[in-house]
Parts: sequence; structure tokens; C-alpha cells
Amino acid sequence: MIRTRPREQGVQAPPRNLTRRILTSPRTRLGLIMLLVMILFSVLGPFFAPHSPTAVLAKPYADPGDGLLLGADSLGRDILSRILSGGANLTWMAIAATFGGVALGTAIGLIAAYAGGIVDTLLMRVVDVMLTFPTIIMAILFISMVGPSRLILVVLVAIGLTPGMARVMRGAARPVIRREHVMWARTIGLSSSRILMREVLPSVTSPLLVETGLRLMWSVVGLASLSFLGFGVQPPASDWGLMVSENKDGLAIQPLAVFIPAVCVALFTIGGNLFAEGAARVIGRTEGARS
Amino acid sequence: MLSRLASKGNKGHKVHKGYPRMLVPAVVSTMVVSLAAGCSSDSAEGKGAASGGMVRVGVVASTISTIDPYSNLRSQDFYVRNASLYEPLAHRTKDGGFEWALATGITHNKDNTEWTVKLRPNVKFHDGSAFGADDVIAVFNRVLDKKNALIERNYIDFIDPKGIEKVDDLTVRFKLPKPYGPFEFAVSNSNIIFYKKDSKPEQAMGTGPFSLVSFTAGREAVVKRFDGYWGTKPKLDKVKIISFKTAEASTNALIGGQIDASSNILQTSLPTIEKTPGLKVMKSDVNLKVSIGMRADTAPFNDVRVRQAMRLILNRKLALSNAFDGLGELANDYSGFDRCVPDVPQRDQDLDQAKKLLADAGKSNLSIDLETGANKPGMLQLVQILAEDAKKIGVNIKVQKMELGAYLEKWGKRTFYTGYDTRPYLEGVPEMISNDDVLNHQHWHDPEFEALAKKLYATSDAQEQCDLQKKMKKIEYERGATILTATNPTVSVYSSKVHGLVPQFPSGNLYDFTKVTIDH
Repeated sequence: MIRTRPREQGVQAPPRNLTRRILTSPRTRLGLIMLLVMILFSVLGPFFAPHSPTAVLAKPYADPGDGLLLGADSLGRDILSRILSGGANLTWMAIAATFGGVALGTAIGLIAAYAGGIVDTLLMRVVDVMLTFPTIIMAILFISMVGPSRLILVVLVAIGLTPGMARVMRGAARPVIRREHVMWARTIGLSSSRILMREVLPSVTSPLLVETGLRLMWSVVGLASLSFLGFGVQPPASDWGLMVSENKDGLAIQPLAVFIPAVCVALFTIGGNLFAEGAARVIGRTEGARS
Repeated sequence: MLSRLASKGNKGHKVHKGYPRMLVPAVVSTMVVSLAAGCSSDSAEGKGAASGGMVRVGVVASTISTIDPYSNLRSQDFYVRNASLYEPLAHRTKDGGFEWALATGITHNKDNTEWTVKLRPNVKFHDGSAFGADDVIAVFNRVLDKKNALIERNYIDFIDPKGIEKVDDLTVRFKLPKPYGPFEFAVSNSNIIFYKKDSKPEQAMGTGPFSLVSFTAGREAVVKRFDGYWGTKPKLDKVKIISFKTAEASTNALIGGQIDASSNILQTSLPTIEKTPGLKVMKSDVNLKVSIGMRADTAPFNDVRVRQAMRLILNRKLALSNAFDGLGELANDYSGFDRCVPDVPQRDQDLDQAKKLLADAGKSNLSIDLETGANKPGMLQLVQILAEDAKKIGVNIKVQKMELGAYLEKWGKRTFYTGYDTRPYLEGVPEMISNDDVLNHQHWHDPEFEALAKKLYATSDAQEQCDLQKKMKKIEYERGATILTATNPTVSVYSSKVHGLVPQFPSGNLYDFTKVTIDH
């Protein structure tokens, strides 16, 4: 959650109570709760796993019983332990990729809006080119070449999120650049980086917040999809996307091994979406006229 | 890309039936209908006399495909089509013998340098013209021409094209530059098939039990009964060979009733299939070994103790039951199938011994990547079981699942990797002692093994060949560079309306339609 500094805001958008305003919406609260629950589940889950998520304990697709609460997966591993352990990677990777992508995209967007002219044109054309590459295809291409690595995945998803983010932030920052307090800061000769950080960025926190929520969901879906396709988290590690793919052939006999991980990814995504969407509505209602 | 993939699949994966089998697995059980229709539990078997009708079979095939019987672009459709339209000189049989097809006998001189092939008389091509020595010579010349770069050349490159001569219309003599013992074995390769000299590939002018009706690349081929066939004529009117992109798709088509039989099914769907009424499952003899290769000229596997330790780490029984669905039997780190087996105990998991071997080799806390293209059922599961077992003695095996194209790209250069073996021993050994790293991907050179291999190919005496094979397999067991866990059958599924399907040898596929009938 991004907090803003209440000082030196000039006339507009004192989002001192932005968080409170956003949380008045029940939709946003529900989304936030779902998101936090899923993150907690992912982070703490591994500590509650009754077995090692990689140990082979039973026959493939064994029914629940014999100490396996939900039965066994395609290789005879405990489904419950794999579900409990399967969100940790997804969560840290999604959060890291989101913040990477948001930071990079915001930087590009603000610089383009602030500099204008040739810099703006150049940056935005590069962003246009990047937008034409679907994130998943680009990730598959790179991973096919260099082999799967979690760090590379994070970087690739972050890069995939960057162009959209840059466009939105440029659009949000352009009107801000023309405002008096920015003009004033320019006139007294503050450095560009200081102006961007202190004067422009605090004025675009609302779109930033909404976009961060949305990008987080895209990261979750993207990373889970890559794992499903076999380009993400590698076996024998457990991961929700990977679990769906590993166990899909046994759908008729052991549906839980596919169903529960799919629901986990869905809850994570839906929670984030509710939050981002609710926040966007609140912000649109309360400050839409101003920007 | 596809052609490269296909040919690498073939060479790299030491398959004499190439790319398609990478996608398959397979079938059949005890239905030796050629012996007696009654030995199956299928009560309807007896009324299999009804003739006519069409059987639709599903294969997993590339969308790129050509009708040429010697195309290097091969997927399962290629093999099924070829087996219906064309014939080899002889079919190999399970006991190591031959069943004559276009040849009726092969004789040789004392030092194995001159081999004479007698051809079957009164064999007709689909256009009614007679088959003879000229057609055989034309095909051998094409296969042996290096410019054509055909996969089959690898199996018969001991033949000098200049030494092939026509004695009469039904006799061909091969004069070899060097003595070569297993000549019959080499020329009876099921991919060395014969078409009419100077005919065009699209005519598909073979001598097989079926002739071509239509062919749409990547979609389907239809063949019809050839009434001029020299052998037992098929009972079916037609066979339609339908291509699917994935084994999932062909499995679903079978469950949904759009096709009548397929050997390209998803092994993991078997429990679902067994519950589906109207479908039957057939398992072939074991014919496939999924292998884990250890490159023997590179650390850490240049130390035989490390290789042996890896073989001891794996819990084979668990792998057989959990990675290979309990289908098949345990393998023992030597290649080849159930003939000429050496007298060595079944290797079992022994973590203490493995730990000691690694400590002796100074590799106690080994950490290594194991790369896999996961292109056979059970492959990905097998490597995970190995990695899990290795953890118990502090060895860290990191599984890297790769996209198949990218995986095959560096075939022959990998250190720790998966592959599979469907070759009969005589076909595998030349690749194992090759200096070409695509063929000898383990980079394993054992002087004693290679000396025995030389002797193996110089003798035509079956007993001597068998004794040599036993010694060679024992060397593989003691110091080879491959972990062979289990030997699996090909599993096929077919509709209970279809009778008379038998698993082909050695592929195990259900694609021999000569004795098949279908209820109307």
C-alpha cells in the first residue's frame, strides 16, 4: 500500500485520507481481505504442511485416506501439502514482478510526461513496440532460450507490465506537469528528479494505486499460466499453476488436485481485482473532476 | 524446425521409428489373433469374419507431412501409412527371427562379405505391374546416397552401392567391402520399404495390402484393400488414418467415438478409459526404455563411481509404480530387450553404497541440473523421483523441464538428461560406439565394449552374437553411462466393435490392419 506525504501538495488532491476513503467501499474491503488472506495462506501455508510437498507417499491419484487428507497427486505426493506450499513462490514472484514493473513503468511515464518533446516521443514509441509483445509469449520465448529461472521470470513479467504502466502514468502525469506548484518548483531551479519525486509523483498516487492492484493480478495470472504451460516454476517444486497442469489428466479420478489450486489462483486474482476496481470507483467518484 | 526436430528425434533418440513414437506409448496384451481368435477374452471375437467396412484410427502427427515413404519429416501418420502401403524384405519377429515378406531367403558366403537376396515371385504393385530386382536396387541406391541424408542409411551404411548387382529379376547380390554378420537384421528394418522404380511419391506405388485412396497432409489418409495382394488379403474395405495434434486430442476422440482405435493415447487417462464402456485396452510386449543419460567424458560423470552412485540412488520399484503407472517391468541399466540377457542381479536402491561411492569420488554434496524434454510418459515423473531420492543423501538434483524444440536443439551436448530407447540391441550398438555425439550422446567410450562390438558385427552366427551381447550388456551394467529404470509396453485403446488388432513388433502399435474386422 502506497502512502503519500501530506505536505507540500499545493491545492489539489490532498489524499491524506485516500486509504480511508477507499476502505469505505465494501467491495474494496472484501477484495483487500481476500488478498491478505491469500497472501497469508501462501506465506504461512508451508509451515502447516503435514508432509514434504515433494515426497512420494502413495500411489498416483490415491483417494483421500492413509494420512493424506485430500489424497495424492499424479506422482503420489500429498495434495494438501502441495497446496499449502504452492502459493509461496507465486506470491513473492508476483509481488516482486509487480513492483518491478510498476516502478519501471512509472519512471518511464513520468520522465516522458515531464521531459516532453523528443524524449517523450522516443520513450512512447519504444513502449508502443513493447506493447505489441504479449507478456506470456515473450516470456516463453526467453525461457526457451535461456532455460527456466525464477529470477528471469520475475524480470520478464515485470518488463511485460512496464509498457502499459508507462502509458497510464504518462497520461496521469501530463496535467500535473502544467500545474502551478510544478511550475513554481521549476522556476526556483529544483532538480528534475526532485520535482518528479516530490511534486509530480504524490499527485498521481490514485492511478498508481489502482494500477498496482491491477498489475498484481496480471502478474499472478501470468505467472500461474507460465507454470501451467511448463515454463514457470519447475517440478518437483509445488506451485498452483503447475499443479493444475500436472494433475489435469487425472481430473476424472482426482479432481481435487486440479480444482483446489485453480480456486486458490482464482481467489487471489478476484480479491485483487475487487480491490483495484473498488478503489478506482472511489477515486473516480471523489476526485475524478480534479484531474 | 520440424524436419530438424524429426530427424534429431530419430538419431538422437535412437529410435528406428522416429518422432511419432516420441509422442506415443502403447498397447496391447495377449490377443495373439494370428494364433487363434479365441485366446482373447472378447466373446465377440469369433464372429470377426464379417468383411467390409472402414476402421478409423487416430494418430498423433505433425501438420507438416508428405506422402513420400522416405520423407525425413516423420510422425506417426507416416509409419501407419507406410505399413499399409509398402512392405520390407522381411518382418522381424519377437524371437529374433524373420518372417519373409518381399524376400523369400537370404544367403551368404563363408566370410560374410557376399549376401544374396532371393525375392518373392508374383508380387504386384498397386498398378498391377510386377515387383523385381530393379525396384530393390533403386531403393537401396536412394537410401545409401549420402546426398539424400536419409535416416535409414545409418542402419545399412556397411553396404557399398557399387557392390549391389542384379543377378536376375528375382535375385540381388550385395558385395560388401567388409564382413558384416547381421545382414538380415539390418535390411529387414521396417523402414526400408520398397516402391516401384521411377514412380512418383504421390502415386504411393507399393506392394502392401492396402493402396492409397487419398491423402491430405496433416489431416488424414484413406487407404483401400488391394485385391492383387500376394499375401492374405485384408477383410476391411478401407482404413482412414486421422491425424491429431496431441495425444489428449486422440484420446478424447476415442472416448467420444470419433475414432475406433489409437496407439497414441494418454497413458494417464487409462483409469478413465477403463471405466468407459465400449473401449478396450491392449498392452504390447515391453518395448520402450526411458533413459537418464550421464555424459561420460564430462565431470562429474567421467568418474564411474559417480555414475554408479546415481544408478543406486533411484528407487526403481517406486518409479515403476508411480512414474510409469505400474505398466511394464524393471530394467537393469543395460539396453536391449528381453533376449540375450546377462547374468547380473537386479539393481536396487542402495543409498549407503551410493553415498560411499560419491564420498570416494570426492563428490559428496553434488549439485547438478537434470534436463528433460518430458517427451515420453513418465519421464518427468521419473526424474522427480530420482531428485527426491537424491535429497536423502544430500545430493541436489535440479530438474529442468524444457520446451522440446529447445531441448533437442542441444541434443548430444547435455551432461545429465533424459532420452528413450526403443531399438533392438543390434541397432543400438552402432550408435553407442559412434564418435558422433548426436548418436553416442553419452560420450561413453569403453575399449572392451567397443572391441566386443566389432566382433558382434563380424559374425553371422546367432549363438555367438547372443554370447557377445551378454558380455556387452554386463559391461553396460557395470560401468555404462545410462540409468535404465523400467521397460514399458505400448498401450493402445480400441473400440469393442473392432476385432483382430494385434500389436506390431517391435513398435507395439495397433496399426496392422490385415486381419482386422469391424462390426457394422
